Amino acid sequence: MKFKIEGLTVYFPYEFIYPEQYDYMVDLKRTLDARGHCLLEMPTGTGKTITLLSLITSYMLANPSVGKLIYCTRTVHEMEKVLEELRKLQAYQEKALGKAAKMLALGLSSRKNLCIHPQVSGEGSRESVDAGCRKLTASWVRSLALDNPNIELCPYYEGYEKGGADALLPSGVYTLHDLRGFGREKRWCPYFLARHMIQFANVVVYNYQYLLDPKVAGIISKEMEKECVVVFDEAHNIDNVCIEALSVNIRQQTLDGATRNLSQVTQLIEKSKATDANRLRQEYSRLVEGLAQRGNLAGTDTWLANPALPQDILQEAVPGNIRRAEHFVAFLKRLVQYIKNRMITEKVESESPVSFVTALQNQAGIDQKSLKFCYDRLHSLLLTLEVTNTDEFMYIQTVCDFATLVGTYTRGFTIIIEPYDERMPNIPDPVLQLSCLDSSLAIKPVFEKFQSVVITSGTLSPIDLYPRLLNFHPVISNSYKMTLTRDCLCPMVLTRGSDQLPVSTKFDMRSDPGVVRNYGRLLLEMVTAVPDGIVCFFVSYSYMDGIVNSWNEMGILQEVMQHKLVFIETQDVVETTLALDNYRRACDCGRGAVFFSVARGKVAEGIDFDRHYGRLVIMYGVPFQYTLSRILRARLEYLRETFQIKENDFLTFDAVRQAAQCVGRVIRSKADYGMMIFADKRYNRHDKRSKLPGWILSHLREAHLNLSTDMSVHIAREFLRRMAQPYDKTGKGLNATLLSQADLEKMEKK
Amino acid sequence: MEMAAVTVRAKFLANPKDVGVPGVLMINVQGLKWTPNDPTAGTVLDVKSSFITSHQCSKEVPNKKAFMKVTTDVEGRSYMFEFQNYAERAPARDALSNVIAMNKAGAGGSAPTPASASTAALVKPASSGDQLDPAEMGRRMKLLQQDPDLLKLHQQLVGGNILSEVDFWATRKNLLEDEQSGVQKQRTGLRSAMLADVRPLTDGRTNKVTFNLTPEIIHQIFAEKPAVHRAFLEKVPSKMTESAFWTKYCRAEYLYRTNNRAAALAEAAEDEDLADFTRDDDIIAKSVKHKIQRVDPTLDMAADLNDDYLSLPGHGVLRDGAKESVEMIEGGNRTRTIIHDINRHAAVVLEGTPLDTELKDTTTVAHALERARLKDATNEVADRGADKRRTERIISMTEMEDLQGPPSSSFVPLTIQDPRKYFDSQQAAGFEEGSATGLTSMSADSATLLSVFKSQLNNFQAGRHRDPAIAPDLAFKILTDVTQHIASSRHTTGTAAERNILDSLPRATRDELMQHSNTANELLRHFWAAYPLTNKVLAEKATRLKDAMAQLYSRIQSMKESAPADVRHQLSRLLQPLFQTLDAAFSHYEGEAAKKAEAVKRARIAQRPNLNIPLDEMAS
Repeated sequence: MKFKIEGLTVYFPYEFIYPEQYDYMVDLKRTLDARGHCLLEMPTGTGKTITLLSLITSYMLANPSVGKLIYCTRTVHEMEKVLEELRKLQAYQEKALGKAAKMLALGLSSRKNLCIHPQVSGEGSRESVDAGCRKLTASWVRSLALDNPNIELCPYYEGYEKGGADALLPSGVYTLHDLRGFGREKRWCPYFLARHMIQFANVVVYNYQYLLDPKVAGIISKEMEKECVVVFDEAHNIDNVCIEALSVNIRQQTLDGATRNLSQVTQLIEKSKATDANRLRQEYSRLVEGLAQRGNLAGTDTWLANPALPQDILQEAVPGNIRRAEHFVAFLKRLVQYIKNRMITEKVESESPVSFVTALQNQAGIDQKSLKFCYDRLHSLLLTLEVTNTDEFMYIQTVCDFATLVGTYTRGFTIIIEPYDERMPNIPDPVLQLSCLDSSLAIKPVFEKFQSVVITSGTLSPIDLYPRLLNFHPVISNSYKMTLTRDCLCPMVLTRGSDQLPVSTKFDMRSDPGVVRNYGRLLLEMVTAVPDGIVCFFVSYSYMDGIVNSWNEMGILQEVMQHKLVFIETQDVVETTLALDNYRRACDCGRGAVFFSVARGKVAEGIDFDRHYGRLVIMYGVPFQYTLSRILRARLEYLRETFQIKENDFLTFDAVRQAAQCVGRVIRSKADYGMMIFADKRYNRHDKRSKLPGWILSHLREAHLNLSTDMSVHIAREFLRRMAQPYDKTGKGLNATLLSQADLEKMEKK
Repeated sequence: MEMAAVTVRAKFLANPKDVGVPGVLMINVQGLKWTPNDPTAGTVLDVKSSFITSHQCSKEVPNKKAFMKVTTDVEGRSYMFEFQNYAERAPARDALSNVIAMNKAGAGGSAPTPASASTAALVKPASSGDQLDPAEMGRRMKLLQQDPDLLKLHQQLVGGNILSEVDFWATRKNLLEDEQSGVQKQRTGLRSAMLADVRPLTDGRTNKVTFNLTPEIIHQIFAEKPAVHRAFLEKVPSKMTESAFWTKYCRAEYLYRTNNRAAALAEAAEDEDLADFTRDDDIIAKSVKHKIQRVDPTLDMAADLNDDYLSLPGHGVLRDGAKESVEMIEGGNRTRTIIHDINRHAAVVLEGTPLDTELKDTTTVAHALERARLKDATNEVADRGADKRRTERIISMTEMEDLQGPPSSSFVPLTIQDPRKYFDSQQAAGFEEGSATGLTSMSADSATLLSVFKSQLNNFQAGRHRDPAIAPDLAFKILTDVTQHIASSRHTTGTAAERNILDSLPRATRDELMQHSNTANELLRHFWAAYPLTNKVLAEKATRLKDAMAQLYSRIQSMKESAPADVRHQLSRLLQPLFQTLDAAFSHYEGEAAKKAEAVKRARIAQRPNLNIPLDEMAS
């Protein structure tokens, strides 16, 4: 359908639209008009992605001055879904507008997901694919190959290079799969083609990291123009991503690896001196001129960029004491040795970057300015030495990351040295962590650089907290209610088992066999009553492991298996992916299945359990963080001092948003339906409950707040019976839940 | 096997649209031989019986030509014959099917398996020289054994020489086909229960524990633990006996179960056979690598692995309150856990490779599983539709169905399997009718054809207008009657009408009644199918059927009269429609007979053939 919002023609590829989608578009349009940022909480199951895409692309059609749409997702599979929706939208727009609506949209991922070279793509990890690629495509390898035909090159990259300026993607929507297909067909390297095409694309879909992590953003997103619209979808965890982007940790094996790397580098320098001393001399003179980076690097030589934020990087000459390669190596050796010494400690140490740098100066004679240049200096050295097996030099790279960050930032960071993990005090595992405490640091350049940034998710409650955490001023921040044709959501709080004893994952109760049994009985009762798929979330892997073992011994698991198959998330991503795939197939074929998963785990973050894939979600317990963690404590303290956010408020907020995120994946549209059980007595408390997103709260009835197992089974049966009845999709009169084109035109006239 | 030679008149058609060359077809044990009447018109055809692979006959439709196609395996050549009429074709067809059956038996290297005495007696009286290939016979017999009603019907009709075997089965082709493709019946999957998780039984007095293994359990063990399967295939019985193997397995299992990991490891270190049971990494890893590529892209978390640069060693926070201890994450070097077992079990159940053999003993189970695996592997390699399924999947995962408008229209698209054949036959039919209405030229130009068609169409429509299927006022009257009848019966019987009257009858009466109605239906079906009586065979058949129906009528009548008084009323109500249909058949028979007599009389007078245009017939 095609309709107007305040004069803007919007193309929407469906025949109906939900009222909240329309409202969302109106707010989004006003944000774009104001060239500001916004924060929008939209319930899951109301088609957020298509609404965003539809409005922004329509806006771009009407205002060619808007640059690109940069759509950030958390995972590759979400990226594929976004591109698929975009494809549908694009087809519709082209039907309505003809050639004028042509656009180029593509997804970008690492070499690992885009490489089509038969050997290199089979390497497995990202680092080894990157290194394998470099071995075949680095500029010096290619120039050597000109003389020596025996040197192997990548045929796809050569094909792409030969294509030169003609190597372009025709307009269209390209998922990673399509890019690979296109690359195979043309015999062009899809990775470099995609990297190149980003500057011509209208829509780019990629991972958060490509914008937020300066190491990646520095090479990929540097050239993006100011007029872009940036969308962070599923952004409820964005503060954590920002913090991760600027944090580094160093473990014993990192230091050992770094030492090995340094001796390798020394050998390379010796060899280089013997064969081509000129090269090192050239590098030295370049560094004197103050160019840490060689001017125009061939695309294949680019490295991860500086870990510090762009505006914090010094653009001046590299200090004299690390200009010569040997001096720099000696400098790094001293640094590594110092860190090694610091890590031999019996108790936890915590200090600020400033005091760390001072101590470093006093004890190892390493000054702050040289620290700052560490990363660039290493990069330059490795390029000069023509190192291709970059995957082996990751350790020294990590140390230099740390050095650069610790030399650059004085505020908002902390250094914590722990001799062991507090949850496992018997296993010595010393670690030095440089942790960013302020999530606003990493996202600040994004807010400053781009015209409009949209932060959206199904769970952003309480919505006033995010502007404080990220330190920005949204033009519009709104949370939408969900209009429903029928009560297709059924949240419940289960506080007691059938024996009326309370259930909880509170520390003193979680290992109580009575609670474990009551949780098991709950699942068992539900498995007999609910058709198709059921998803259970636990607070942590270790808790889930314990529960599964106890249920197995109690025979509960065997009883559950009489009704449905059981699949379990594990730490192994591949195994989990296969388990999920099997789970879906079990739901498809009608056998029905139960999936055990972990809040904050990979599944909870990005997998949908809509329609028959999830008729019921049980959230066992409240997924609090491990509150004794040093880093968490440091962060809480920082939040209290800087933003006046209370510790308990933040902890509860964090736990409840994870819980809401887990249960919120059961519905996709209003035709869908699902139940949610919060199985912990603590959810009954007002401070927890009130932090749930509004669209869940509004369906949480007073009578469903304090249920026992048998009562909840009764409610579930009732609910399922009600949902099985035919109903009128559009709703009636004032509470219409579907708007047609005619309805919208009427609204526009008013 | 002896068989008489058959000789009939038949035209040979070089191609399906040909007019054909008249000649004589002779079929005997040696094969078929066709000689043209006019030696100059064509060459003599001589096909050895061993080359004949199959034959096809055109459907018996009145006013259509009787064709028969014979396929040989000599360069896939086939021959087309046209017979004078269906009656002449029948013996040729039967003879040919005999020839083919003998061929097959000969090729199989053995005589057709003699049917068991009882069932042979069942089919024999009807077969009357109509030999079938044993497979077909077997299928029929199986169907009869499965369905007692069908068996009774068969005994009555075919046994009573009312219907021929061929006629009886012609209407049940779909049953036979179902039976033939019986392999594709719903597959039974595996049970969800974890059978492989054998728990030891203790007798409570001694320290002895017992494991019970059934073939089903063993099948599951093999499927879920490929290492055990491999070890079994390698070692039994060449290196150890089967019972020794399972003793070892149970021992390992017991140690694992009692959480005596140290003992289990110690034992595994000593005994390499035992160690084999736990080493399944390589097999599973291989299949995992394969499967991960076919995974649904909307949940492919493995693609994320390392995409976000978070996996750089040292990147990000290591020990955050939200993260679990590093030990757990890195301790993933596949020590056997219950979680792993459960996932593996569920995956195997879902894959569900039910064995093609019955679960008898372990060795067959092991080998059958191996075969099934190989088959799966080849299937997967040949799987080309994966790409399409992938897109379908992703579309179904992103679409919002309730925002879409109502589906445009619900129709099932017409699929014509062989369009050329379909349109050719339509054309042929057009020509035939054209010739019937006096257009003798086969190469009639399109304009004439069109005009003929137009006139026919006009006729047709006019006919419909003048003479609808039933007069409107009559239709209305019937409708009112029926409605009233329903209303009144409900009124008189009250809620009792809701109950099935059949249920209130005594069991014996009910069974008899059902059987009679089945028989009557079958007879009626064949009776009406026989009309119009275009040839003598059909006429005879109709007479035979009519006689059978008359007998049945009187039988039902007597049943009704002998029924106990209390049910007689209901019985007669139940039987009323049956009697009506039978009566309609009788009156039709008599009417037709009278008409025929009349026609014969008139024909004698006029001495000219009756030209009946089928369209008119339809309209009348």
